[in-house]
Amino acid sequence: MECKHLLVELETAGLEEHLSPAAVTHLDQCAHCSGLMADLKAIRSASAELSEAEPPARLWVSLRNEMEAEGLIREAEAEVVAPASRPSFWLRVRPAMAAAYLAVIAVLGVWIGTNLTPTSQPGPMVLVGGVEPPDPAALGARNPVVAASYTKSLEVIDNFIRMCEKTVREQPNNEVAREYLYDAYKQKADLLAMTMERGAWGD
Amino acid sequence: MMAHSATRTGCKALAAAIFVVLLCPAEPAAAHKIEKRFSTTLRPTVQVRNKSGNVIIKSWNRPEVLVVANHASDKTEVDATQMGNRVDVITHLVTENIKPEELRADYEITVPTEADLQITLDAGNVKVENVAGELTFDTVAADVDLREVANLLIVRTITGSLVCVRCAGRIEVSSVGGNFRFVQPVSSNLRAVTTSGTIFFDGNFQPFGTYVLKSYTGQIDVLFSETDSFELNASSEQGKVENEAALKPFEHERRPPVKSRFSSSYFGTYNQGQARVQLSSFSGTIKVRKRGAAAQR
Repeated sequence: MECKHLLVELETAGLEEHLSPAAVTHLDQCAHCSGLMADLKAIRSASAELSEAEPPARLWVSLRNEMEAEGLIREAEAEVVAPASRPSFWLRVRPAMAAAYLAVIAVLGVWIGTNLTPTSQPGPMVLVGGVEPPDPAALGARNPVVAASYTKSLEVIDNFIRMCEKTVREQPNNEVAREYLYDAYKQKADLLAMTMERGAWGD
Repeated sequence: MMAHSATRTGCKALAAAIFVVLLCPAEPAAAHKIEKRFSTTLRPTVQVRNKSGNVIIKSWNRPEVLVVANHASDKTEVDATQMGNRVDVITHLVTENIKPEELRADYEITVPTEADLQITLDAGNVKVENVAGELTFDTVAADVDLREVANLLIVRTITGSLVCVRCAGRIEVSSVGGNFRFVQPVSSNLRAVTTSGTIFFDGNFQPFGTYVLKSYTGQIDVLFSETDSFELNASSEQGKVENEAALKPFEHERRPPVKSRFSSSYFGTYNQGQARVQLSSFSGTIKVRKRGAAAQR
């Protein structure tokens, strides 16, 4: 069994309870996968003690923008139809979105842990669900200084991500580099969300 | 003859006057100045949301907020309103068709010393002096300049820089490309993270304080004095760490911090090791220098 097969099995069977003998054997022999398993167990254990995650406020705005853009929601209609006493759409979907946010972060962690092996080849960076960097001008950044700030910052983070990815490939046991890479992904996600939020406010 | 001469002299004077008036630097045709005063408690919340311009905030001991706004264009308008103990100052765009220079609105706001501030500014400058409430700054490219602020300070920028002189209380700042400069801070809890910016810290470490300075790729400069007491954990994955503090190993009951075997790092205690100083970078250089020695260079 290879590492990627174990990952598939983990997705379907869960954490080790129903793993096949081949997966168990692989876990015994592969330090990388056993480390990943330990991390996942630690995350599961820690998450069981968490009451409720509170994602950043700007996440709601960016998710709303995305969902509106995809035609999944139409806020104006919702406001007309919803009775006054009914919780707003965002209050109703917040728990689900909080879970989605945690899932995104967890997936990033797993992705870093599994995909960046010494043999994997550098490729175009695809962030969370293939989100492309938004065009600041299209998002309402009328001020060229502001648009340049967003563009430059995305470049800075992308360059840093590439630097970390290279290091992790060359030094797969370098946990600190993995942490920096994970931070960089989160920072990029935050920046994209902030870009979309800023484009929407105040006008 | 004399009457004719007097008429000619009068005409010349009138022409000269018109000429002078035309040459005089006039206020921009569309300049707007707004001044509003609000009665509040001694600790109001003041929220400012502006796209571009200067935001200057000063304090006084009166329970009121004074807002003076200047905006150059008819395509923006300024709303200064009060809701209970909160004053909202917001720049609105009147039209979508607007040039960058027309976005500008400048504010000079005077608040009670204990006021809480929430400032959002895309581009320009924010200057705050002598305000001791909870302060939050959210900027894109705007620089933040703070003098003698206290209590709680949260700054988030994209590329805007921060200068913080004699800031007290808990400080949390983050940026992608912004530089941070802390001069004589009186904080026992400071956390600063920037991706590519530099961090400069020149101040005394408060006993039992915590200082976390992190720049992914930028340089971190820390100046300390001989009387400071701190434990240091400084590491850079791919950059250098230069340290002038004569560190003692951690006491035997303490475990050294977990560090990468790939990194350059220093850790140990200076004097009694009261404050905790954590400096980290991925590829930036970290310099820990003694204040007197640094001044001689």
